Amino acid sequence: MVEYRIDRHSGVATYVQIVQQTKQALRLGVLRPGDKLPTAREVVEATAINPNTVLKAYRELEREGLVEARRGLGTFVRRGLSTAPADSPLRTELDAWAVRARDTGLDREDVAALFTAVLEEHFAPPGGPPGTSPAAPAPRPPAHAEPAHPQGDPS
Amino acid sequence: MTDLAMAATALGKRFGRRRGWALRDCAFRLPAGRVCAVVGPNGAGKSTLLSLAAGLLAPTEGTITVLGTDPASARARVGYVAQDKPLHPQLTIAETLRMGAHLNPGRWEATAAERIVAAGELDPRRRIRALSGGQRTRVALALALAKRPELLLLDEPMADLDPLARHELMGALMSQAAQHGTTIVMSSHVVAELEDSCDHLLLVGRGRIRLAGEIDDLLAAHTRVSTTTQAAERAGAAEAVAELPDLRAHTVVESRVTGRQLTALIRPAGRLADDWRTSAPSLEELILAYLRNPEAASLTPAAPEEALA
Amino acid sequence: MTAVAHPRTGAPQSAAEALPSGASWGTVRTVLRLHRTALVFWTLAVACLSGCLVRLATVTADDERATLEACDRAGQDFCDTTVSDFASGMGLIGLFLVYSFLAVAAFAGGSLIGREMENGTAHLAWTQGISPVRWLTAKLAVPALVLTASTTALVLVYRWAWDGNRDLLSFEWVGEAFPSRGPAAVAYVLCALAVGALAGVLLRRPLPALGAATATTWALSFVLTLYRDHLWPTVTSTSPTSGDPYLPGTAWQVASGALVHGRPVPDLDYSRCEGGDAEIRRCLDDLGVTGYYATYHPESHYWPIQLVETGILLTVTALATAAVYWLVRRRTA
Repeated sequence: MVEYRIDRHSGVATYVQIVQQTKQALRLGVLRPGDKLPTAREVVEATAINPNTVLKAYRELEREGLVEARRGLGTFVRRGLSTAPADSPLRTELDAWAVRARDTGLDREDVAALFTAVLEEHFAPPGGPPGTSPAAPAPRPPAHAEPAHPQGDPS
Repeated sequence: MTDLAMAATALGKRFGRRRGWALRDCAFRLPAGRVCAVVGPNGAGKSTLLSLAAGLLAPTEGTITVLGTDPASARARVGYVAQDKPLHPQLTIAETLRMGAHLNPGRWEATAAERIVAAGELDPRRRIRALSGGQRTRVALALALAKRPELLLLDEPMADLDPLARHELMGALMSQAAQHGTTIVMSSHVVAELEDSCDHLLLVGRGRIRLAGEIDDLLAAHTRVSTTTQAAERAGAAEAVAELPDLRAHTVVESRVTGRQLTALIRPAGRLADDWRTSAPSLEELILAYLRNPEAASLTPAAPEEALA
Repeated sequence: MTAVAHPRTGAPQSAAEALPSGASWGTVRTVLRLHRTALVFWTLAVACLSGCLVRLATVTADDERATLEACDRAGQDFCDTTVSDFASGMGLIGLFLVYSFLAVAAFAGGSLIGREMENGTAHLAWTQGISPVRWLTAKLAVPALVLTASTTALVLVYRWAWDGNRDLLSFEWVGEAFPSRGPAAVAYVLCALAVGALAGVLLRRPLPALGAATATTWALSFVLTLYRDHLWPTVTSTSPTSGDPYLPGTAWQVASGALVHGRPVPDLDYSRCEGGDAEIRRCLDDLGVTGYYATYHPESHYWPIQLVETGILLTVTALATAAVYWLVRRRTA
């Protein structure tokens, strides 16, 4: 069973935090296929967040095919998340890159900023309301009112 | 169309002719199943609004609908906790809960009330008179929750609670909402207190509804814009900001010129010029901007649908 | 929102709409519990007064009779009958009985309604399953029943003590304690309840409401006492100049005076006619005095006056009750 920790000062939307923590649990093997996610009621009782936020996160996970809602039973993990194995070539390359970065005199924060910027460039931001992406100066989508629910709220 | 937990049209309440309007021209729609924050400064009309919804006051003008009917008919299905948490001081906690059972026959769930009281480690034999403010709040909430309301109206519910009790009781409320689909409406003048728990907002300022709608929709309908171009110099005084060619098409809620920098909170009505930097406002920024600028156009139910269509 | 996570509970709703009859009993029990202290106090007071009456009517009255008989037997010229424990006891309890409405007014204005309006517990009740009107009905009906039953019982005991010992009572059937032997006593407490409730709802604070309710009901009782003789037509008895008009022993004399050419003149100063019979006769003739008169209520007017007074009080009660319902209905949704 996964336990969510909501950090209200992180600037990351609450439902995104749930999505991210679920994925992290999938990566770390804390959650495995067939496992049941806590019910919305259990989550909100422990965290005092809005139940609809939990449902929104679960819908997002469902949309990504990671979990499935079984009516009356709960939400279950469908598949795990593949992590690059510790000895994969990608990891070796990243390792070498990190060593080079350190040698050029970059500190931890510089590296993190650089990494985040590159990440932003190549991967779509985690679906959240505009502005919740951590890097403020990163190129933003064209300035106009975005739809409220990128994934389409069924209500 | 979703069921509505609460809806108001042209709602107004005046206490005596001399004291003026506590609330006026209020229009909003709150779908069932939402957790709604009623936010506004002290004296803005939040308590009046909740009292009207609870059927404790009759509106001076306009109408308010609760759970699809008038507040008087919905009484049995609505829970209400007033700001000062009134309870009979001469009763014990157990007697208070028994009174709740007597006055809510057919709806009362004793175990729900007892669980909330027990979570605060309160002895049911203690008299209400001897309880602290926070403990009274707990008993008042237990009384309101045990009648299994479909709509729960809470006036400043967390004001007297310590952080631990606040978190636990808010969790209990959210659990109630998750389990029974209870619509919860809570007022507060502290936005941060409600931000995580609520998905709907009614911003009340000076007796009017300034913002009404889903928090996500409201945030999405607003953008913080800033520029350092000559626009700022052209604007000169902040009053002229709304007249800038780049901004004229949009609704400017608030704007500020500092040196060469111009920042504004706007409701965009189309594309913005490319040289404007944009960012999303936080809920608190949004609320403060509206409260600081009473003359800014309000965003209430008729409006958000067309803006977000 | 999602139907899975938000199952709508339909059962309680239909149960509540059916308005279970248990609601009324629950409300009654709540009102009794909330005002338990007042109820205990009132019950004790009524029991205490009844006990005193029973003791007065049996032990005290018999003792007094025995004393009087002993005195008679001894052939004493002066038997001390001016100080009667029985009569003064009855007078005192009669006053208690009559003025108990002041306590009722204070209770109704203060703790029954006023305090609940001030501290918000009225709102607490109105947001349970109870409508403000039903709350008011319970708040009025429960004390009204208790007060009617207890006051009626007390009046009956008082009447019993009175009727069995009229030989020991020297005071009249009218006077301050007049309502204590009839329905007016009950009407007074009910009126105080209604006026107190009205003051409580109107002023919404216990102390002002308590003050206003007691002042209003006291003023009402003062006015009624003042004009009690006007509540029913009086009987007039006249006499020729040679003697006083005939009055029955138990009559309540309202006015008396001289008849000047057959017309009653209450304030004619005929006492200045002094001297011998002939002188007086002449003096009176000069004044035009043709006789004397007295207007009075015979004891048979006791019940008509009681009933008229009761009627007036119940009318005030009804008006105050209507006003308090109107106010509560108008203020709340």
